[in-house]
Amino acid sequence: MLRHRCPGLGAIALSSLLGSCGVEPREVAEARALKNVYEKEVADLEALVAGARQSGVRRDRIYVGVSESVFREIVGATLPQEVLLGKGVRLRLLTAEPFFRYATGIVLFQGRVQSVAHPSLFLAVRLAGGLDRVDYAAGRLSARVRIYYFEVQGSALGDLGKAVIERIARENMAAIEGVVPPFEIPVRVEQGITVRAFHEGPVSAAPGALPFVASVARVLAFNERLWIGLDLRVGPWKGGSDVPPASSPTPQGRP
Amino acid sequence: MKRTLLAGGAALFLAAVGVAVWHVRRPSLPPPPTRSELEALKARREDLKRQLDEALAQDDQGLGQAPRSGILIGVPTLLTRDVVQQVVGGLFAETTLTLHNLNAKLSKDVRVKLIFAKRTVGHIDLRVDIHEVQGLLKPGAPKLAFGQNRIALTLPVSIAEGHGRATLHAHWDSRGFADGVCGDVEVHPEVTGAVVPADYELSGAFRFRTEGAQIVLEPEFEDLRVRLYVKPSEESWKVVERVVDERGAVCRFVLDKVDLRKRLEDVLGKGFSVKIPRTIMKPVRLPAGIQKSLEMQGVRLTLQLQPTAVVITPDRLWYGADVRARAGARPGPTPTPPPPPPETVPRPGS
Repeated sequence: MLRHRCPGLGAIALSSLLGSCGVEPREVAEARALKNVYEKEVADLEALVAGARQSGVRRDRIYVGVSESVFREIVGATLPQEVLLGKGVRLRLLTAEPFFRYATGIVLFQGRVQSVAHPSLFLAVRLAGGLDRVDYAAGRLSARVRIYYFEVQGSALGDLGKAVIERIARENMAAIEGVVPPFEIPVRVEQGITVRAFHEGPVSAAPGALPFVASVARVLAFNERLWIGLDLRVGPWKGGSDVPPASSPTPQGRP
Repeated sequence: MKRTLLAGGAALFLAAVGVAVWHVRRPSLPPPPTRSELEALKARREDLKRQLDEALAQDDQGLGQAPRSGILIGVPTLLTRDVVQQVVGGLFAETTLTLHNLNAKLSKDVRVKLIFAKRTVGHIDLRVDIHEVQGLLKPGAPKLAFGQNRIALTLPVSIAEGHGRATLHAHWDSRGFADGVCGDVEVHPEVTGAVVPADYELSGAFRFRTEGAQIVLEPEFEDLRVRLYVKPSEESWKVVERVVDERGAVCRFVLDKVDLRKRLEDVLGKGFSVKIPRTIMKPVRLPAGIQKSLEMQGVRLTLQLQPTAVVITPDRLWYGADVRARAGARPGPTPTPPPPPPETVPRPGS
């Protein structure tokens, strides 16, 4: 299905590690890349199936699911994004297409490498990466794309020229990863519940707080969704003077 | 011209040598995969995908049964139960009941059996003005039951460790022969007492309510009516006894027949009706919710959320929303360095 939806995705991932670009025919490079993608997906799926059979889905874990369409909607709204790759050369990311199908979340970007001075001079490029790490900080979840693959499209430069550019891009992969927008997942995980002191009729209660400590436990992609499993440690309840000042009787940190 | 051609030729030669060296020295690659190898891997992948779907479908409370929506949050009922238990338990552990200006009174003729018959010996007016009584609420272990769109909660609550202070107004109006030996007695001693521990049960439910794309557990409880009993302290009884002891022997005889202590116990024994308002139960937000805006790469996004149905399974509470994003103002353009020499890509080695 992945292949069907995105014929070029065969070039995704890990091929860069093999140094297969350039002088090899394009179809051979793609075959190598495709093999690597399949092998990674198979390994991830084997681990998932084994885990699901052994213990099922953990029932004490919060799961956040994000569909491909939401990813497309959110990341798409922030594109195009640009970054300077080197002297006078800029990478412009135009579109992002997610594939949350086979255990690993994959994103395919289309873009251009263009001259800063002469923006009409450009090369179409394609980047692919994996959403295999989600960070949680201060109640927010964000997934960073790890770029696996960079490919120059078209044939204006010839195979050797393309190979050179692709090699340079691979050598600057960390810089490119730095500008690929991290996917901010629009889900807020609260850091606790705070209850203010109150007086209701004859009843008065001291303030209290129930802290939550969340951590990302698992990231997996299937059914066209990216699933993030969160472990949430709850409590213990803190009452009286241990309670930080609160502005709301509901969870902390809300706007 | 000749020199230029020579220089160009040399450059081409060096480039060709460089490419050849690079080609020879690059790591040797394994043979490329055959079409059948790729097909086998692809088939294996599809088979594993099917196995995963089956495994998740059998786990019918798991992700395989998650409803469809753009963003979905599944909060385990175990976790929801834990949150509600800790909030309710914690809240009640720090809750006090303070009552002001309670009063109870008794006004009646007192008839006692004298030698041959019962006779009215006087009239007693007793009034207890409790200025303040304070009790501590102690929660028991809450019981929760998940229903279609609510969590039923039963919470045992004890009133314990209370104390109070009061003024006892006692007016004894002697009648008949007692009038001659006792006269009238009027005292207003300050007394103290303790709240009699008692157990109650608070029951109601938290209903799931969507607030945007957040789930709020909205309390649905009735006011809790409790009857608060106050028991005078031993010191207070001594005060009452002293009132009697200060009288003459015959008067003490009459007042002993009146039995002030019992009458006071009768007054206080009825207890005080107290209403604990339902509003002490507060809404509880589930720990995760969908945001209406976010910022990515300096671009402010406003999210239009269309909440989807809440689905409650015995093990998980699912809620979510479909999302449309609208980008706000973008930051300024990427700073442009001084114009470089025209080129479309960096040169090797540059």
